[in-house]
Amino acid sequence: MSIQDEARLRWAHLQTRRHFLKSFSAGVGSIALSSILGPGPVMGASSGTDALDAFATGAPLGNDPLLPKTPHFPAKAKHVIFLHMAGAPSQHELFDYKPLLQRLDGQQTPPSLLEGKRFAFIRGIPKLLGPQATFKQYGESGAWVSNHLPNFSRIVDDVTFLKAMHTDEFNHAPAQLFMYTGSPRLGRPSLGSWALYGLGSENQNLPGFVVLISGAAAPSAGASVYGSGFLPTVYQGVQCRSDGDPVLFLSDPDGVSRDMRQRSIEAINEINRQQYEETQDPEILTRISQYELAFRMQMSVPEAMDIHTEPEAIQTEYGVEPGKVSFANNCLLARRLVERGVRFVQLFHWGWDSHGAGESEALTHGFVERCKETDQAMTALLSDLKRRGLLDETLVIWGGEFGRTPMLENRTGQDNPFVGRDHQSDVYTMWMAGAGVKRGFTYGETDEIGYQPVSGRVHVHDLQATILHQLGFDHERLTFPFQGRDFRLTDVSGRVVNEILA
Amino acid sequence: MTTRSALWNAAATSAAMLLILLFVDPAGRAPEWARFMARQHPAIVHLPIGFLLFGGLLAAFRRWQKEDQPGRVEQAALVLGGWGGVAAAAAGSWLIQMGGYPTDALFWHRVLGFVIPLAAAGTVLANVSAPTRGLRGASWTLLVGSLIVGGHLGGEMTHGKAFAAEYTPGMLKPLVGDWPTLETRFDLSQPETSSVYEVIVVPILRTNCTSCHGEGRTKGGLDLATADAIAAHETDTEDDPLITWGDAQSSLLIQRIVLPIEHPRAMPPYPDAKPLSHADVELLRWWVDSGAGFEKPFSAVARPEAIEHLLGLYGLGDILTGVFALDLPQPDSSAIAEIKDWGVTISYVAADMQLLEWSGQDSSPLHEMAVTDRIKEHVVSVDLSGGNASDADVTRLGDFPHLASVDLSRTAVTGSTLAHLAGLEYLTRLNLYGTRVDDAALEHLANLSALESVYLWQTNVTDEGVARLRDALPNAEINFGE
Repeated sequence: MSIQDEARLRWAHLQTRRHFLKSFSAGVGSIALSSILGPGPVMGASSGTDALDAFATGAPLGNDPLLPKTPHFPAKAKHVIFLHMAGAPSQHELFDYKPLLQRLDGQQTPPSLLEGKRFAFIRGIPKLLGPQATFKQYGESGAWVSNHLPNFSRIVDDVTFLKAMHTDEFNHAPAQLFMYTGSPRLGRPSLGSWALYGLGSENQNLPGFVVLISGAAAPSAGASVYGSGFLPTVYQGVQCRSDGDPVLFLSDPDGVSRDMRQRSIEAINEINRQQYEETQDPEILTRISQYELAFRMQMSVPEAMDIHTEPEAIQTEYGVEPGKVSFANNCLLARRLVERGVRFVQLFHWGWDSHGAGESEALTHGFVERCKETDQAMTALLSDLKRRGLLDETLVIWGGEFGRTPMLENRTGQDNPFVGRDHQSDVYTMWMAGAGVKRGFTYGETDEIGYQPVSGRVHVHDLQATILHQLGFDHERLTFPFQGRDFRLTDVSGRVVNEILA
Repeated sequence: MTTRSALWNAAATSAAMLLILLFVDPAGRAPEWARFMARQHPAIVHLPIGFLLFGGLLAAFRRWQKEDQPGRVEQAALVLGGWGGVAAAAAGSWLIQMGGYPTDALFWHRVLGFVIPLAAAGTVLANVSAPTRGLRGASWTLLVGSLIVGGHLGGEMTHGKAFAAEYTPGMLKPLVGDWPTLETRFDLSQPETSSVYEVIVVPILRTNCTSCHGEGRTKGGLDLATADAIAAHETDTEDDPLITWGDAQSSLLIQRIVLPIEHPRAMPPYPDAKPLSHADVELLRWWVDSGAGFEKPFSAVARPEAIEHLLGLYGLGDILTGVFALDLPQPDSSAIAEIKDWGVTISYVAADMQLLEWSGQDSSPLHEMAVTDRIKEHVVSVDLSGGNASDADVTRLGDFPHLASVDLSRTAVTGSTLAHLAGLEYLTRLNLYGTRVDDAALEHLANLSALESVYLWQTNVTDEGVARLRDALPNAEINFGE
């Protein structure tokens, strides 16, 4: 036996079952990794996929998956601010003015309008309910706005109204999931995660996808509406708070100095790196970059989130309430974050579910309060972005998960001092502004009582396709392979609403 | 082979072909076993083709060698090929019974299918008994010619018309009468200057209409060869005008091409000419509906989604304008890497575009001429907002010829050097909010006619300065923060 043969035999003896399993699992791991990460969102981009390529091959560790990436075509929007009015605000009291509905107030709904319809709460034959507001036309575009939004009415010439939005879901949680993940069920990545996955973040010291929540409750669908689904978790939304610690669990524990914190994170990441070398699990990369981001955020987040450094005049303009959690504070934060390169800022303001079952859900009380809480701040946000030149590259979207019926909802059938409306998925109003969207424009039309669409319908998937389009993506090509097929935000539908693009 | 056996072979072949002709009724229904045979026609048919062409090659070689007498192999190839042809003809005849083939190509394919076995038998006979070389040559020519034409028709029926010629090399295309490929049919490389009429309508009219209406002939008094001729056309009073801008339905041009093909007034007249493709009809309809006329440039006409989609199918991507239409070589990646090392974020505007965006708070890398000069053609956007940018940086930005967006907001720039931006033909967006720019500095902007938006909130400019700038740049939006 030659010496080489002897060495080979000896080596073979030393190979145990454990060695086999280890190299086998590393092999499977790297296959899984490449199948999870796939090619970058953009094929053939000369620089854009560097981060993901490095990610996929695992070669230079520490290359951050959040580095800026290249879109399919030149992006109009570098940032998105989504103002979600959770609970679904009534279009009949804000933008979709129907004089006929006023005249028909209190009359029974004709059965022909109810045939084949299913409502969340309305049973039997409901009465029609006229608008609980007065309307006037504003601006050169002559958009109708109700008396509940006195500030917003000044800037209607900067927005495009989508008057015939529609969705597939008529309950809050599934409809919110549908709006943000393209599916009414759990498990898909949210709009902001897709944006971050596709474009990366401009600011490596702040999260690329920030969530700001105001109002008495979080969105009904929970954190899934800003989750990353099957995308690497590094792309999920980070909830920041305008009061107390901006990001929970971010500050150093008691008795631990920043220096010690840094050394411990370095040690943890070194161990994680070794673990990654062995298992090739992409979630370890996510964990490493999250530790590093969190450490950098300790310095940058408090600075970005400190709205008290804003000039007095700006704070007054937004109607900021220092030390409180408010929509106004969040609007000002949104501008500050966008200014610092945050890709996607998601606001939720709760309390628009105006069924009329109590004072807080009455169109004449709670609803009016919500309008007061948001009107000044969202107006200030648009004006502020505009004069800073940020509105050119920031897409602002306002709306709920669905709309409300032109009929009065009276759940108990008893005498009720409060009026409200039921959920309505066939038609509702949203508006968009900035980043290449037409100004002073209205798309879509509803019938004489605002019950059914007449023209210009926009489905939630169409809205998503349009948002991705403005971010520079073909929504059919921004995909992620998962469980054997390429998934995308708009699933198998979606049409870019070119009609509203300037 | 003797003359006698060649005669017998010819007689037997003729009898077999006669049997097929008499017993296989094209309008009848093939029996079950024949259906199986029928489907083997494409397989069977290649055997005689091979034998006969092989025989042809031998004959040609023999002629070249000045050898007069055919060899045994040549005769054997002809006999085998002939009988293979009989089998193929039988299978083919049954296949015809099963239907589904275009009739005009089929007729000639069938005729040639009958000619080939007979011609093969005839050639065998001529080879041994024909008195002249000319007759033998004619026999061979008939045989090989029928093979090529018949085979080609068969291939067309199976694979579609353009199958064989599809990948003809460019220089040979005129020989096979090939049209330009779809991608090259419409030239949209200059969407801002070339009109819809010239890039879309003219190619469609040329392929479908002008051989009768224009180019010397003006059938029915209609001339579609030039814009002037189309515009000058007068229609009979009972008809709609040739073109009613904005209303394709009321335009004779559109009405005639969308009539059902069997309608006597449908154009182009069927079956002498093919109807227009769906895409061509839709594109013409769009041209008329949009009221684009003969002059309106392509980029100025709104394109509905269906039209975008059709143009997409023609291989035409997004129509790029302005700085995005620039065709630049790849930027120097080592220069990009070096600039990135200095803390600047350099990103590509889009995949497959060689345009770069520059952003960073430290402006000093701009002045590393040796490196930044290598990518200055590629940079279309510079964002120095909130950083240490100064008037000297503005001077330097004037060297970046393709800048479309410059953001100097929240910097110490005074605007005294803004005149250096005067040569930037693509500059549409200039953000100067939060700088020390004053009215005097605004004077420098008056010549930047491409500007679409200027931001001047929180600067030293006055209402009068803004008013003067608005007068100088009527198309630009001057945001003063009011």
